[in-house]
This record gives sequence, C-alpha cells and structure tokens, in this order.
Amino acid sequence: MKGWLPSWVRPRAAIGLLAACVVLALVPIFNTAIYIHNLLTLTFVGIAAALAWNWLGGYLGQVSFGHAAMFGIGGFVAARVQLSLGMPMLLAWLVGALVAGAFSLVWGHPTLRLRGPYFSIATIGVGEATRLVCTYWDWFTGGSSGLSLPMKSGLKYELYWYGIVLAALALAASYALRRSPMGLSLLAIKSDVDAAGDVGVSPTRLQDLVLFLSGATMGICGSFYASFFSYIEPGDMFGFDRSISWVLMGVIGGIGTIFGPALGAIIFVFVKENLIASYPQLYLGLYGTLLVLVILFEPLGLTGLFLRLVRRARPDLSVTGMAAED
Amino acid sequence: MDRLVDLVIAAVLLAGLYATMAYGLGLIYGVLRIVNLNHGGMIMAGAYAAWYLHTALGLDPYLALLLVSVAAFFVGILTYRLLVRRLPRGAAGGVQSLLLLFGVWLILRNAAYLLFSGNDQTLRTTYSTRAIAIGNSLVSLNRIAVFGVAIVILIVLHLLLTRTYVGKAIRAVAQNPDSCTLVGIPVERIYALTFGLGTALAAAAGLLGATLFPFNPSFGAAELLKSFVVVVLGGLGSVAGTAIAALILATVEVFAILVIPAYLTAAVGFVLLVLVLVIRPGGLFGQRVLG
Amino acid sequence: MAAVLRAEGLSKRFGGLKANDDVSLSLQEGQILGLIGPNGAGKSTCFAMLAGSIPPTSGKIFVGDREVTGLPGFKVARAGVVRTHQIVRPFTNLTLLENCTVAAAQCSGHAEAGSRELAREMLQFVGLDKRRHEYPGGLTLAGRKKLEMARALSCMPRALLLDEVIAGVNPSEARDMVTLIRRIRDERKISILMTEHVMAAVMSLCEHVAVLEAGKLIASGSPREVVEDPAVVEAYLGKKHA
Repeated sequence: MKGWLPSWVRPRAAIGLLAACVVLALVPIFNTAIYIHNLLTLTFVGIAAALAWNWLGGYLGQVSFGHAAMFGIGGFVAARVQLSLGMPMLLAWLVGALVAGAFSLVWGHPTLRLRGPYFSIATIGVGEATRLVCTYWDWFTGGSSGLSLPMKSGLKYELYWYGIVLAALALAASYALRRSPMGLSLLAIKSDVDAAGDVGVSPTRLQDLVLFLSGATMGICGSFYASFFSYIEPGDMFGFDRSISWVLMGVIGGIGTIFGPALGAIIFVFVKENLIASYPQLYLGLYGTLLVLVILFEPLGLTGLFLRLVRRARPDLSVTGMAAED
Repeated sequence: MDRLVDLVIAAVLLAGLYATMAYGLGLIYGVLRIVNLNHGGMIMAGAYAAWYLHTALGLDPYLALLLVSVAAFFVGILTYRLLVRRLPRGAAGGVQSLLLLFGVWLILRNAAYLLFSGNDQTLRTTYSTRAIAIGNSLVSLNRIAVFGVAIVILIVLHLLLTRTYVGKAIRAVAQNPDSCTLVGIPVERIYALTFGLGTALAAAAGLLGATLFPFNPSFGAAELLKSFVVVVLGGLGSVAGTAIAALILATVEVFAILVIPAYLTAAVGFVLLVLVLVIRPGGLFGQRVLG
Repeated sequence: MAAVLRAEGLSKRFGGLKANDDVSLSLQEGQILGLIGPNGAGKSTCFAMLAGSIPPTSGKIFVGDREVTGLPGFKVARAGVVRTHQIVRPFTNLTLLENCTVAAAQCSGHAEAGSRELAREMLQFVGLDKRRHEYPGGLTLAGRKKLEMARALSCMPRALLLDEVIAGVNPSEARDMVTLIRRIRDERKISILMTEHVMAAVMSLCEHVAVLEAGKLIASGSPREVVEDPAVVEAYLGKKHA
C-alpha cells in the first residue's frame, strides 16, 4: 500500500477517506427519504466549495468575498454549452470548471499582489461586478429569468454519488495541498511572501496554481448545482450572500485547516435547512455572531475547539507533522 | 448641452454624499489601520434610523441628523471597546479585524430584516418631490440639501482635525502611536473616539442617502466599495483629496449612464475599484498624514 | 577565476534621489567581504540589488559567469545567492525544521526527504537542532538570526549575503555570530558578503572591505588600508579628522 502513495500521505487518512466514501455510497440503501438524500447531495457540493474557498482563504491567507463569481460562471457555462451545443453533462462540467478557473486567474493574478484586507475588498468588487455584468448579459445567463436545463428523470437522485466523488476529490486535494512539500511553500508564502521569495519560493506560480484550482473547483460546484436544480438564475448564483456563505463555512469550521471548512459546510447546510422554514434570514445573524465569537476566542473555529478537547483528553498526542516523522 | 449641465450638477451633488461616506472609512483606516467592514452596515443602520424616526415620530431627517450621528458615535465606541480592541493591530490583525467587523455587519443586517422586513423602503418627506431651478436644470431640493449638509460636515471635520486638541491628537496617533504614549496622549481613547467618529460619519451618510435612494437591509455593499474607491483614489485624510476623488467617482458614475443601462452603473464603481487597487502597486495607503 | 558575485556600475534611482551611483565590487571565491559606510550611504540599497530584492536602474550583476541583473529574488536565490534580513523574517507559522526545509526544497532542488535531512544538518550547524520542532516565536533575537542563517544555508548557496547580523545582539552572542560566520566560510566553503555597523566584527572577519558614501564607492581594500584611508575617515567623522 505504501509503495504507490506519496510519502507524505498517511495511509490511515487514505483508508479513512475511502471508507467514508463507501459508507456514504451505501446509505441510500437504508435511507429512502428523498428529502435527506437530496440534502446530503447538496452537502457534498457545499463541502467541495467550502474546501476550494479555503485553499485561497486559509492556506494562502487571502480571504475572498467574491467566490460566487466562479460558481456562477461555472454554472452558466455548463448550462449554456449543454443547451446550445448539446454537450454531455460531465464534459459540460469540465468546460465550466476550466472557464471558471481561467476567470479566476484573469482577475486574481494581478490582484494577489495586494495583501490582506485590500485583496478581500477587491474580491467584493469582482464578485459584484461579475454579478451585475452577467445579469445584464442575456445570452449567457438568460437575464434575470435565468436558464432552465431539460429535466432528466433520475438525474437528481444519481447526482448523490457524483457528489460523493466531488467531495472526496476536494478533500484529497485539500490534504495534498497542505501535507505535500508544496504545502510548506504555501504556508511560507502566507507567512511572508517576500522572505519566501528570498529562499527560492516562486510566489506567483504557486499562487496562480491555487487560484486556478480554487476557481475551477468552484466552477464544477456551480455546474453541479445547475444540473441538480435544472434551473439557475444570476441573482442567486452570483449573489453576495452565496460568497459570504463560504467565508462563514471556512472561518467557523476552521480556516486554514484541512477538514475544518467541510465541517463548516455540513453544519451550514443543515442549519440553513432547519431555519429556512421558520426564520429565513436568521441564519445570517446567527453566523455573524458565530463569526465574531470565532475571531475573538478561537481563530481555528470548530476545528480549534475540537483540537483543544483532544489535547485535554490526550496531552501526549501533541506530535504532528514533521515531528511525528522524526 | 442642457443634458451635460444636468449631469455635471448631478455629479457634484452626488460627490458630496460620497465624500462624507468615504471619510468615515478613511478616518478609521488612517488612525487604526483597520478596514471597517461594518461601514456598509452602519450606513444601512443610519438609513433605517432616519426612516424610522420619520415614520414613527415624524422627525424630519435633516433634524434627526445630529441625533442619529451621536447615537452612532456611541455605537462605534462600544464596538471598539467590546470587540475591536481585543484584536492585534496592524498587519497581524488585518484579516481578523475584517472578518470581525463583517460579522457585526451580518448581525446588523439580520436585525434590520427582523425589525423592518426585507422590502425596499423609501424616505418620503413633504418636500421630497420639490425641485428648484438652477439655470436651465431642475434640481431636486433633497439633493441640494444633502450636498449642503455634506459640505458642512466636511468643513466641521477639517476644522476639528486641524484646530482642536482632539483633532491634533488623532492626527498624531495616525502618524506614530508609540510616540504618542510618550507624550501623554491617551492612545486607546483616541482609537475609540476615532472609531466612534468614523461610525457616526457612516451613519450620517446613510441618513442622507436615505433621503435620495430606496434602501433595504442588504444595502451597504455597494456603498462600502464606493467609499473604498474614494479613499484609495483620494489618499487618506486630506479632506480636499477625498472631495476630489468623490467628484471623480460621481462623475464617472453619472456620465456612464450615457453609455450603459442604469443598473450597471454600480458595476462601474466596482470595476474602478479593482482597477485602481491593481494599478496602484504597493503603497496604496501610504503614510499620509491627516489634515 | 570568475568572482562568485560581481556588480558592475550599479546605480539605483528613487525618483530624484540617486541612492547608488556606479558601484562596482566583486566577491571572490572563499572571501568574506565587508560592505560598510555611514548611515544613508546606500549600503542597504546596494545589498538589496545584489539579492534581487530590487532591480537596479543601471549596471549589471553576475553570479559566476551568469548574468542575473534584474532577476527577481527567488531566481537569484536559486542561482546561488541568498540573503538574510536586517529585521529577521522567519516563517512564524512553521517550525524551525520546516523553515529550513522549505528553503532546501525550493532553492537547492533536493527531493523531499533529502531536503529535510539537509535542513536538519544546517540547524545542527548553527546549534538549533534540539529545538527544531519549536516555532520561531520561542527564540531570542540571536536565535532567530541563527535560524535565518540556517535557512539561508539550506539553500546551499555559493554566496551568502548577511544584512547586519551582528547588530542588536549582546557581546557574547556577537562573538558566537562571528565564530559562526567564519565557520560558514571555512567549513562550508561559502563566500560571504556582509553589511555591518559593528566595526570590531568587520575588522576581525573581513579580508576585504568596500566603503560606500553618498551612494558612491569611495574605498576598497583590506580592513587596515580602508580604516586609514583619509576619505573614509572623513566620511565617518567629518573633515576635521581627516
């Protein structure tokens, strides 16, 4: 087993991921509630999207408030090529991903020169500008009435397993981006981009890579979303609220950690579902409060809390990363 | 030609509002090195405060200005004392303070939604539709009033910062907080005060904006970005710089109507923002002094 | 034999200010070269240009036979010239070992396991091996300066550029630093260019000294020669003492 895995992968992690996938794949045998089935599918997309956001926001430390731009572009490109060119779904997703990834490079490459808050503010601008322009671009997005994809019977149900694959790939990528040698370089860039350059780390190449991966993954998530609902409209796909949701998932779950944002996504989707009937807007205030609490008291969010508990229970278990391999 | 004059007047009047709006953001950044992401939230809060006082108590917004500003001032101080103070200052706290204040904005948004519903609101006074003639153009009375108030606010600010002890202390802290403690300036108090002042300005701008435009709880993102454009273009602190930058933004926006449909004009501001941020490399918020 | 690092006619303009004016110097193989001068002489600018941190307005820089003028810092580092920083800049979110591993992996092109071993070797060299799993925040200033040196060494450079490493530490730490610098040259065969204010260190370490004043190179030679050069004395102390 160890032979064909890169040395920085812990076999336990790979096995764990595989096991989780198998278990989830079998769940529908026992669960016949369509409502929960679909909710899980949406959760898988949410996990992938939150993780993708985290690669830029957490690993590189560049918080984006405009990631809905790539989500929307991926969704509408995929919908458009399916509608106009009759492209098969998965190919359309790929095209959506590539275009979204390219778009993130276009605005992101020059903007990443900005540090911290300035980058974040610029992303608000990018997100909103993209929303407005795309809403106006009738051919691409159908204007404010949006685009409808032909309903394929059974597709929504099948997407559950596509979702598992998507989330699993995103988790694997998260793991790789962090634990591989490249992960160290990313952390170095996050800490001090100039000093990183002084020891041979090429900042632009790595940042562009993360930017592209993050944007492309967002694009796939958007495409998935379009296929799932068979209808998308620009106000929702490109919405500021949507961009905000990934910030919340990432920060509350644990910004910069490997799994934190996935945790944030799971909680976010389930809470939103439960609140949406009774108090539709309340989730914003709730998450706003959580955000404030996380920033003030536990910068690593839920993951941080979890780690604290683990440390208290097993104080000897403090050895991670390179120390463990010594 | 008449149309041109109309547009120029519109741009000038709008610039007044933008300058007031931007100054609050710039003040907080200049002194505390924090980007107040709750700026949009406070603008929205100011708008709702004005609307509520008018609808419930019949209070004219321009008369309510002082009340709303003072209330916002204390809200700002409270925000600083309870929350912002706990964060590391400067680069280290950059993203954290951003997220913290963003959280506060979300809470405010939610509160507005719960209290006032998500529908668009407008502030209509008895004189809302009145207009007066300037040359060949018919100009809304509200716009002139907003402009007038904005000018007064900016002049008062300028005088405050240059002629009073507090103002000078604020400028000193903006330059070098460590030296300030050495000469006995209560830096923490100045931080709180500045945050309060910036918040009050945002709320005032919100109140003024409410007399001109419809608003809802999601109001604020566009205003935040426009404020940012003005601050980046105009440099920090100098009232003149802010005024000129506000004029540039307002002019671009107003004249863009000639070329693109109305609701896209907001996008102009956003694109301008991204362009400005990207083209001005490195030292955007240089070590400019307030004054 | 080509010099390890050579600057020809380096000039740097900042707007109207000429920070460096036609500066030429060369660092020979196995040499420790000192770059000194009064405050505002342009040492930091010259240093930054040699490291690739800022591009020169005119002039050329060579590493061995290869021209590196205007290349960004990371390419200069990979070409074999690595700098430390006057105000230390460790990667605060990485352990000491990780700090050095990044450098080893990126700069010297070592494969993954190899880079960790190299990093550990460099930490041992500066005496920080025992603390390799700690974070830079827990070190003293001298410790962090040593970390920067270990990190730079992990790049396996041909030339090491030291930016005022001695200034700011106490005398016994300073003596340690001097010994360490000498060992870097003697044991690891790395050429060193150092800017420094602490004259005692310069006198004892450097075989060759270059003096800058108001952006120009005003003297170059052995420490003894330079110290007695009237132009240098005047630069530091003013006309009366020349």
